[in-house]
Amino acid sequence: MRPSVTRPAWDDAVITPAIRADMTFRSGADFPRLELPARPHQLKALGKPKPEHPWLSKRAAALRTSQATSMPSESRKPSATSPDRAGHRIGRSRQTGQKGRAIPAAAQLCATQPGAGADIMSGSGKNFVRALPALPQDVVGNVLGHLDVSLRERCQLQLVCRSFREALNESQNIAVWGSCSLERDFPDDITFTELSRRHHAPGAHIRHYGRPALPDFTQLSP
Amino acid sequence: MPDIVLRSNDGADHKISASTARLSRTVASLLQDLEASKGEDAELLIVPIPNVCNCTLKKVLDFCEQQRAFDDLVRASPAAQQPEVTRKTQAWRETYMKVSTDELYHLVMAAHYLDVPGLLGLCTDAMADHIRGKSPSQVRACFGLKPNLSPEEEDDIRRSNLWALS
Repeated sequence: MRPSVTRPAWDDAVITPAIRADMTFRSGADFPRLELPARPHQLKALGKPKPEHPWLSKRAAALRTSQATSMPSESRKPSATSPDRAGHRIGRSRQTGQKGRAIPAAAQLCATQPGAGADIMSGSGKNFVRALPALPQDVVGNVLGHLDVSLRERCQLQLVCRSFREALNESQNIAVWGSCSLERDFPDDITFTELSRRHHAPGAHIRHYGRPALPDFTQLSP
Repeated sequence: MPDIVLRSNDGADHKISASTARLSRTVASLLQDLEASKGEDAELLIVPIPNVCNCTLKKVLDFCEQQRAFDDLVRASPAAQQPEVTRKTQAWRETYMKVSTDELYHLVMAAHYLDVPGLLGLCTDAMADHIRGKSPSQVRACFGLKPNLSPEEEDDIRRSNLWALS
């Protein structure tokens, strides 16, 4: 007998109530989220509302950036066969002078014109912010990746500029780190290296503390 | 492949071996494509590097040559001498990175553009040293950054991290 489209024959046989409960939990809106490292009792004492999640505010900031800045796209992407400073056409064969296939690396060499270092690329790679100095977003991320400072200092560095904030939020270290240090009551000035050392394996605390242990599905009613 | 010439944006030529040039992934992929299309017996190749000035390119090539020499040394020396080689490498790198903030900026941009992973790591590590222990305003002053956060964004950061910023 052919199984119906809406309810396959293997459904009841394979998907047990426990598995169904698991699927519901994973896809449900009540999946636990990482919370910010703000001290709850401080917020409560000040009567402040729960802060917006950093990933949501990051998206809003990216939208604002894209609306505020614009740059002609043709000025930063010349063709792969455009002449270089010496007048050579990189994409042409030297022997025959015929135009060959575009060389990806040559395109990469031409992709950024002199002076483009004055631009900074924002997280999505689509927007350029003219005013700022200089460092592409992935370089900022790389620099901050080498920075082994305390969570407190890391939070403070978000105030430097937007690219710092985006890089720090992208790494998600602040949220994960915050939830970890809150649960274990580590001191505020502990560095990421020290925190990882205390947990023995880097990333172990992320799995353990970032997502709370799953409930015992055998105890749930279908 | 024979030696190649890298030409800086101010027209200075630097002749280096292809194996050294391959430490730059950007140049390596260019050479790979040229070899695929023209074969190994290509004539002397001039590669323009339009984003890098002469002195920065020279500094980058210094790193590439030293890196290659150290790699060869590591391969050639027995296991017992490895720590000594590592110590020498470390000492050379410390001397190499004694540069001003301005030079460091140009170097990191060149390393990023030419995609030299070892040099980029070294430069970003040095930049991290410049940041460590500084307040946000000091970091901005050090790197010539302008504050571009809107008051709402700044307020949001302060609200989210009350415990750290109070």
